[in-house]
Amino acid sequence: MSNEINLLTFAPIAAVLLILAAPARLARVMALIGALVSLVLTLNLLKNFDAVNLAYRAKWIPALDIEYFVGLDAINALVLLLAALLAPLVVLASWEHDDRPRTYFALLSVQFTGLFGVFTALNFFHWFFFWELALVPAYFLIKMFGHGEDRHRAALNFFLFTVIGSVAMLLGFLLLYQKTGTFDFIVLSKMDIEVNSFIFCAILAGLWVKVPLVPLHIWQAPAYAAAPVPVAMLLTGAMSKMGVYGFLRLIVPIFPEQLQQHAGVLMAFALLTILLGAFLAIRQTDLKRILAFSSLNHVAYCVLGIGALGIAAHGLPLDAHELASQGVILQMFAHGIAAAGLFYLVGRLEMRTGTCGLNDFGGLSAITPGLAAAFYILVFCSLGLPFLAGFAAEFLIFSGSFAVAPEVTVAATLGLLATAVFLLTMLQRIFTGVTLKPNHSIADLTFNEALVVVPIIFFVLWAGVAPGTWLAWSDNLQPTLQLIQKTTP
Amino acid sequence: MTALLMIILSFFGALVCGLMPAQQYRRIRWVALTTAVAGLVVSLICWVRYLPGDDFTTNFDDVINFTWIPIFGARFHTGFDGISLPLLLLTGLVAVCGVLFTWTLDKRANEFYAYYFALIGGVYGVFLSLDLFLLFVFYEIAVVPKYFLIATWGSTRKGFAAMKLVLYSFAGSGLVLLGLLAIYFTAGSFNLQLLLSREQFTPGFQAIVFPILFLGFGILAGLWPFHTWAPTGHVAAPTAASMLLAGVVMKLGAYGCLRVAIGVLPAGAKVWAPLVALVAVVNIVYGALAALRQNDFKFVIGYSSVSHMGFVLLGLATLNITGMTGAVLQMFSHGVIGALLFALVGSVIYTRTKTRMLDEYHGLINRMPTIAWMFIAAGLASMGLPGFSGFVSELYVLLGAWGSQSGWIVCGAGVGILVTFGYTLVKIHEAFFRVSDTAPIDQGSVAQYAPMTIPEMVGCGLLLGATLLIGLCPWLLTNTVSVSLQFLLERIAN
Repeated sequence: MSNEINLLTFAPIAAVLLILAAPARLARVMALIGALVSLVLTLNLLKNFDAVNLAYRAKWIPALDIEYFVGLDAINALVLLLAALLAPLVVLASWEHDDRPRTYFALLSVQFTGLFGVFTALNFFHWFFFWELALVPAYFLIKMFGHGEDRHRAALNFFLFTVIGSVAMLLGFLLLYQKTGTFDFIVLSKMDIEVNSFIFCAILAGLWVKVPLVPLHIWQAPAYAAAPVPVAMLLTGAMSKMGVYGFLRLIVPIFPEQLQQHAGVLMAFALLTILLGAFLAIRQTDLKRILAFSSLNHVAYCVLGIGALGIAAHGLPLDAHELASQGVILQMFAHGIAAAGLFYLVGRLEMRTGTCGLNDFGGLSAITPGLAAAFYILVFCSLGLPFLAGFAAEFLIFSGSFAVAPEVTVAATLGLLATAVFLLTMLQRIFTGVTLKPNHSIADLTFNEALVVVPIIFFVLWAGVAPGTWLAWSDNLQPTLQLIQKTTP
Repeated sequence: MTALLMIILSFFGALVCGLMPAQQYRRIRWVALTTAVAGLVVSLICWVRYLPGDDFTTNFDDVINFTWIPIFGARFHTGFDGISLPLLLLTGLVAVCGVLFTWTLDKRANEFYAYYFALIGGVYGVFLSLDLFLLFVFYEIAVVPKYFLIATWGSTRKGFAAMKLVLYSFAGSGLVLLGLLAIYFTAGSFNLQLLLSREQFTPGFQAIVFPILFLGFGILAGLWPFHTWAPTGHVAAPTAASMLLAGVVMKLGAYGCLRVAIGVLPAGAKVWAPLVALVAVVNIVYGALAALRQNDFKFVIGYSSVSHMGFVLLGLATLNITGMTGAVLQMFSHGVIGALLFALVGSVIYTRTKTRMLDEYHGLINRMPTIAWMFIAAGLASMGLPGFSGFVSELYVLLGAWGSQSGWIVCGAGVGILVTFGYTLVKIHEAFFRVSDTAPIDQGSVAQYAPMTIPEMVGCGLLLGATLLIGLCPWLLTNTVSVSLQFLLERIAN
């Protein structure tokens, strides 16, 4: 049994100790080292995957039959890679952060560990531990380092909404444990669980908030807008994926019947979220809020796909199921990386000019060509243009969902149109037209910024031009899932 | 004999401290620390050496049994099992930390520590007693020192609070005495080992006596609506005493409920369990809501104790192994966390800011960062976040409640958890992050408060370490707790 998964999960926590021990000016270096160690280990795991490396289990609380059980399979490989990629980028994005750096980088590193833990855990008990571990630092990061006086309220709303969902989920899982005697995701997925709508609804509620879906989304835009930019990158890039991943890990395998029964409702709410997110984004004048609502809209496509694969799970052609699940996994990655990049660029614009209103810029493509190019690519990716990551993902989701629910899919394309409206308006207002006076001399991308932006664009292009490599990646991991299942008693 | 050392050492320490002249307060505190550490070490030795037995009688370790008052068969009969062990450890730990957080005391230190160790000796005694009469004696011994500790060294309406606390305690003791006498005259014995292992009482008798005993002990555990002594008493008490009160003394009540009321009268417990569960949920939610409304920081912690004790009661009401293990774990967990919170608020923060009113604090996070983060960590532990002992114990309790109580009870407890999250965050915000307009100017002008002293750091480290250790490795306690509870529960099943 290899410990690599554990190492990559806990490397950032080790970095926290170094951060607290080292002088404040070295905090960022320590955080970066921790994040890079995790990234290298993740890449290494995915490169030389063989089933032995990809699971680790140990007894934890024997009395309750609780194990420490982590593993990698087709569902979480890409989303773990996403988190591991974002971690060093987020540290780089906060390189110039000088307000209480130790606290800041320590909190950030703890959050990395929380994310890695959520994405690798296969037992509810420590999965939930990491779920909360990812939440707490985010709360303090928004509260202590965020923008504006509104940050306290935003952080509190963020925390309370999530916690209400978490507690519901906890109660649900405890009842499930009471009935089945196990917290093990894999064992649960193989069990024939008696239908209990309370358990299903409680777990659903926890994920509903985290994704989020209408009407539990109201914490999201204020939190994203108030958070420091690197934290917002992490929130939209990785944390919103915790909810979607939860659907894939918990709802789809453990409650297939209930999901199938309620998939229609789920898709309806996903559709509502897609449309509402897009229309709310159109009405905003603050760039960060536009991106927040855009994120709401894009992550809801994942849920649309999950509804589709829930319906397709039984009876209907297997293709739809396969298409939708591949689409969801790819969309998580594509949106995560692109949205984080967009937040970063908006943050840099705000750094330079002190504002981030939709109408505070103009004609920047002439003044900052590098930044403009990066911005265009990422916006196009969000729009779902071909050869960029978003296209492949959304195409897969739509084709999956069209097979089972054509009406909903058609309505969802309205969301695509609305997305085009606000994204293109944004490009036009910022980069074309007349340059405002004070913006004549703002700088183009620096080397430091390029370090963050270039990897993001690289992956956006790779996943767009050759989505096959990525799908194959998660396909190749499919057998390991079965292997993990086989080793499970 | 080892276990008895805990009682002997404490009373001996009380005597030594009391006899030393008050001017030598520097020497007294070292004596006090030595006494407290010795108690902790003894309890640790007991813990390491303890092996659960195969049945009820062999399950108790270190049993000492000799005649004491022959006329009514009271014996000096002590010993411990898996249920008392965590509480003994807790007492030892909190006693040490209490001394550490009172390190700078110079006013009548000799008397202070005399009362302090008398209280601790009484507490050890209750947890070790295997004779109901002896248990009652120690239970009474623990009441009196509390009065003097609060009335002499306290603050905020100390006379009133001390008197209220003592009256409530004695009222509880009165009920307990009534119940004990009923048991004695029916079974003809005070011997707990005997009473626990044999079926003695008719269900009708149990159904009548159980509520008397449970209520009597429950008052000390902060059972709603008889909890009102707790917040006022905790607030008025000096730091070391409020750590002991919230951390250990409330557990005396819960321990009595478990060991005596449920242990001896299992059929009665079965009858009353639904009502106990309901009251427990009221405890949880009401305590949390009350905490939300407080402006005095210490009152926040006081009400949070009431709320957390609700989980202990809920765990007891489940009458199954999981829930009751959770109750014992929660006793330990809240003991550690409650003590830490009281220490931070009543001593560490108060000695620096000279106020406990939340609206007079002024963005403390930047002026006492280490202390603020220490409190935040303690607050997260108190919320029951995973990784801290509170999570494991609440998880066990809820799991047990799913198995035995109606879903509404569990959902009620869930609401309580949410309110707990709410008030903890709100109070952390008000204390450390809010930049208040009403704060006095000179308050705002202090650039940095003094950093934590070494005794404070050691104390915080011990308590925080304990909650993390049990949060991550709960089996350290649960293994022995479950075995002992199993014997108790076998009788309920019959």
